[in-house]
Amino acid sequence: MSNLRKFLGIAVVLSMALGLALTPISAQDVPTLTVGFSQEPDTMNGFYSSMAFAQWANDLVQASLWDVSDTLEMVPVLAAEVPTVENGGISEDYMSYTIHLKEGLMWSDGTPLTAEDLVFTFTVLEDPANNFLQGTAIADAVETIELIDPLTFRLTFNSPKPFPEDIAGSPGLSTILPAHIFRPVYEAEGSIEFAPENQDPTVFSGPYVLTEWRRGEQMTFDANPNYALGQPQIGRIVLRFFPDTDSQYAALEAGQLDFVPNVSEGDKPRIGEMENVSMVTVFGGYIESLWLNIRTEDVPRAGHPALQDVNVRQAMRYAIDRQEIVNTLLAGTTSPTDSIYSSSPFEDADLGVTEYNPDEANRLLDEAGWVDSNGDGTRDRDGVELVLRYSTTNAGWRINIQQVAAQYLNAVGIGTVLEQYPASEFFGSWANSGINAVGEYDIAQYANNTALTNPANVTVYEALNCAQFPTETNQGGQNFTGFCSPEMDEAAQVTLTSLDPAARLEAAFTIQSIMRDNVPLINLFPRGDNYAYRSDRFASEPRIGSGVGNQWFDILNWQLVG
Amino acid sequence: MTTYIIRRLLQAIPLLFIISFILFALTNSLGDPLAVFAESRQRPTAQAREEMRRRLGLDRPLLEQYVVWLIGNDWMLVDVQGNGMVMEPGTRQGVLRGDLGISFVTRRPAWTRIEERLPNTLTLMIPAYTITLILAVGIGVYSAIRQYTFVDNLITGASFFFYSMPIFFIALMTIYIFGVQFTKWDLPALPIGGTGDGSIGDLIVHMVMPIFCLVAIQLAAYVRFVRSSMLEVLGQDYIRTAHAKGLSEGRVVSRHALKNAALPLVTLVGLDLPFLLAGAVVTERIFAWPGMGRLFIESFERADVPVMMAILMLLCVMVVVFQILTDIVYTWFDPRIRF
Repeated sequence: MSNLRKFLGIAVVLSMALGLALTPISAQDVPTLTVGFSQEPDTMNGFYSSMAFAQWANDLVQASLWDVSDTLEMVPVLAAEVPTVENGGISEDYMSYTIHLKEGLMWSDGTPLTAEDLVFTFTVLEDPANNFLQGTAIADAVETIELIDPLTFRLTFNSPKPFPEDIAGSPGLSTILPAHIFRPVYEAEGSIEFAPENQDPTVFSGPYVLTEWRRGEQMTFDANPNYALGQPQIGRIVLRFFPDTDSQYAALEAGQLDFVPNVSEGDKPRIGEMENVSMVTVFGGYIESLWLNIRTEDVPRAGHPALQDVNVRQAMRYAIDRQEIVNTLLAGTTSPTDSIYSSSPFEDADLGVTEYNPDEANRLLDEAGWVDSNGDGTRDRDGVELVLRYSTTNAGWRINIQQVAAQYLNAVGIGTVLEQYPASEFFGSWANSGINAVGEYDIAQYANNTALTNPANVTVYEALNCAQFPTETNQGGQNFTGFCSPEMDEAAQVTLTSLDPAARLEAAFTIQSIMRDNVPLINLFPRGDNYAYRSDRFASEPRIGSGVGNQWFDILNWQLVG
Repeated sequence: MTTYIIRRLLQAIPLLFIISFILFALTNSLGDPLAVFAESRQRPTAQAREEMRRRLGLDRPLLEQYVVWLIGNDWMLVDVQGNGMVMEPGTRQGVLRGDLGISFVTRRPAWTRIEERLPNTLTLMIPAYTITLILAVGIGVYSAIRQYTFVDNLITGASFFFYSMPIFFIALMTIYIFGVQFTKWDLPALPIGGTGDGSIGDLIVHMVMPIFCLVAIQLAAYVRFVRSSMLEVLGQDYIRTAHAKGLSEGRVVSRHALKNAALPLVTLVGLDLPFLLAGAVVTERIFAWPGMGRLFIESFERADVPVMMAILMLLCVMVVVFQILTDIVYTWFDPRIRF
């Protein structure tokens, strides 16, 4: 037994020694901002990622031609000015843009950053061999790319392009490739898909350079002395990856993290209770919604027959107390909406918001012939029970909303079967029997996109378009609701291509009223991009870019204390 | 012995083929790797998504995908647009030629991703497992020879207490107390998450909480196992004989009892060791430890089949290898066993 005692003795001494070794985290010489990311970027070439976190990490090291500020203004970065028809940058017919770069721009390695880099980037973007995930819309739009002089290039399009931000500035083109690094790979391999620079980048144009990437753990960024807009005051940024939100918030509360982007809606109340932690919310461009399956074809699955009736759909909107959901589950930080353009400059202020009115819901359902004839608590008609399959992803805050919304529906006699799926199954393709794609739902809860800088709204022109029904022969179709309004498709075309801002706005208003009256989806509330920061570390509240642009657009002015 | 080992290895080959096919079918049914675009701000066009699907070979029948995974597709042409217009030669060599595939997510070789994570996992799991085993043998033996004493009852009670607690609860409580509350009380708080600044000292400090949790959760089962195994042996005639010969208790326990009681423990350890490579999914996630468990979960969430398959096959091979090693170790513990 003496061995056991000896062992225990050594263990005690060792743990005491360890205890002594624990010292508070030492003060660093360079002002360092420690940021908690819940996911690790999958690549550092923005063209190869659809991850928000990869985009955010890229935006630290990537300069755009121009950024979009928190107030949706264009801020030139590499471009000498944002092209307009007035300054001659955009042709009268909106078919070509001529863009001038600032003088003396440099990559972080000291190589001049010129129009040649831009021409190279657009050329690579046009070549499908590169297998890019991003920028396909730009590639489809651009007809020719011309180098005018070392500081000027010109893009010509196959149709008028009224929105320069979608084509050349952030958020459209958020990555500009250093030609001197990528060209040799492109010429040798015919594609930059597997270029080492995508994963281990060495040359940068943004406010920071990536100095270390410990996979699975953290990335370290140091200020880029060659950045076009000058040197940031925060010398170093460390992005640490915390896949578990509870431990991430614990680290924030303990002061081991200074800044946490992407706080989910459901976590706002607990962040609000932390000492020395404040929040900034910028509109993210998403509206959480209930998408209704009004497909009629049985293959693979039609929605519940009751959803065909617009009165039933309207009744459902009356039945759900969206304000109460926002107040109790989201700490009252947003408000319900009926507009697909909510919180954008294209929102129709006169549209109004459907109030919670269970009596009206009951009246509409009765009128539609759905009554509880067998006394089981659920409405029915012609022997069909009004029980809806209500699905969402397995995100905790979504499940909370799902359960409360279902109770409101139950209260007016609409039965619900609640289902939750991993995102990869929920949003999967037709071939993978994705829940939305094959219509295995009656109500699907997820976010739709809205438009911030222009009224062309992908939800409208793609996800609610008559030509986008997924079928055996069109498996990539994106209209999972089965809603079709030729009038709305026409208005969507106007928002995409009209050169007259007034006409575009009018079309956006038309779209909003069609959607309010026809209810292909029930908008719940606009979702913000929420950022939590240590108020004892920041000199003042940081300005953060909106969801459409670059969240770090004002990073040069962020200041730390202590 | 050599014949035995060769026979076992040959038997393992068809087994690994069967397992690999089952795993391949399962991992491929987990979801759609391209589903990540659904809520992204800039969605690739429907046509671009279809082309991606074809390049990744996801449009092909499962059996064909499995064959490509095994032997590669560099001998065939991939119809990128599905209309015979653009035919590209395949680039994969297949698992049998040492190519575990390219991660759908990072476009880096699946093996590179494992190589980055494996050392971190072993850094955490080997000390945790070693401490668990040492404590389990010490405490298990002690509580067996002091059966039904106060200390034995205390240890039994504590074992069940920790055994019944979910790991995430222990982990979050540890973080809350030693990370958050210690900061508030101005005590030297432990760092939450990660492996530190690269120095050994900082690494050890970062290992304290995860190792404590791993030991706490595993220890109980091992202690109970060692205790019951020891109790069985201590009741045997040869132990009484050893006592009758006048041997000291320490000698009886260490030379006669423990060596015999260790045999079932070796089986258990042999079964558990390969899974050290898999890491600890929950612990690594909560403590932001960049190990294999997290890699697997991240790959699972994004339906990254090549990485999942690489991890699972690595584990399968390790299970086979450790089974054979366990058999060899048996012969040392019990000379009566011959193969």
